[in-house]
Amino acid sequence: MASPYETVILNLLFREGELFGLELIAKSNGFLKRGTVYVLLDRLENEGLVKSKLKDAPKGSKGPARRLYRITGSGETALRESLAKRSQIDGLLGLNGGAI
Amino acid sequence: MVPLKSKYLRSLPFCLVLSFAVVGIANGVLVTFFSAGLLAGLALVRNTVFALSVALVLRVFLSLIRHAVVVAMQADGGGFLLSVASYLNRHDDRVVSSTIADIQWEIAEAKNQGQYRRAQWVALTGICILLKTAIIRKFYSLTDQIRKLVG
Repeated sequence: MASPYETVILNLLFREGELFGLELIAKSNGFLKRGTVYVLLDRLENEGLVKSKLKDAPKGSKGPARRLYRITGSGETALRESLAKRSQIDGLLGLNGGAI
Repeated sequence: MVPLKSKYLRSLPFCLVLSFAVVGIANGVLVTFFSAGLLAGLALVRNTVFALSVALVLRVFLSLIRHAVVVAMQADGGGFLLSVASYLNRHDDRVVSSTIADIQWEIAEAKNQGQYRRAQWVALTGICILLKTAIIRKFYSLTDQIRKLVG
């Protein structure tokens, strides 16, 4: 089962489509931090749950290309499984929905 | 011999004032109190002259960092970050390159909006993240080596 952080990343990518790391941080309302999001994305990419592509910086601005992430088919399956397990656990504990 | 407790109590106000004067104010409340604690500890285990020397070195070091960040912001924040990152991590992998690219983009955005303070803050945060990454990697590499040695 994906960790809460990984589930949030997968969920955001599933809902929003393609996102940069910074956008993930912004859309998570402070749940994801700069120091961890890229490590998590790297791990998810190694597991084949997300895929990334380089997007060049706009003309006239300096700096390296940014990485744009999107969820894969395996990622969607992992997200569904993770959400199902979490709601199962919540049900057992008598909780009504979580932060994820 | 001066009792430990009274020596500590005597050195603490001195170091607090010293810290405010030498390190603090310009660098924020947290840094000031951290350095006050550090200096009080140093004065306790060594002596006040040693604590004063450390305070001065710390002050110069902090000034250099601030100066480097300001220069980087005025010129090219990205280049500065890249050199720091490549020095700290020694190689360019996906995590480091993604972090740097996004931080540079945020710096450029802040600069375009005339928010130089925010740009400096983002650059400092970026350096801290890269520093943390380098330290964690070093730690993992060391524990890996120890594990191999122990078998």
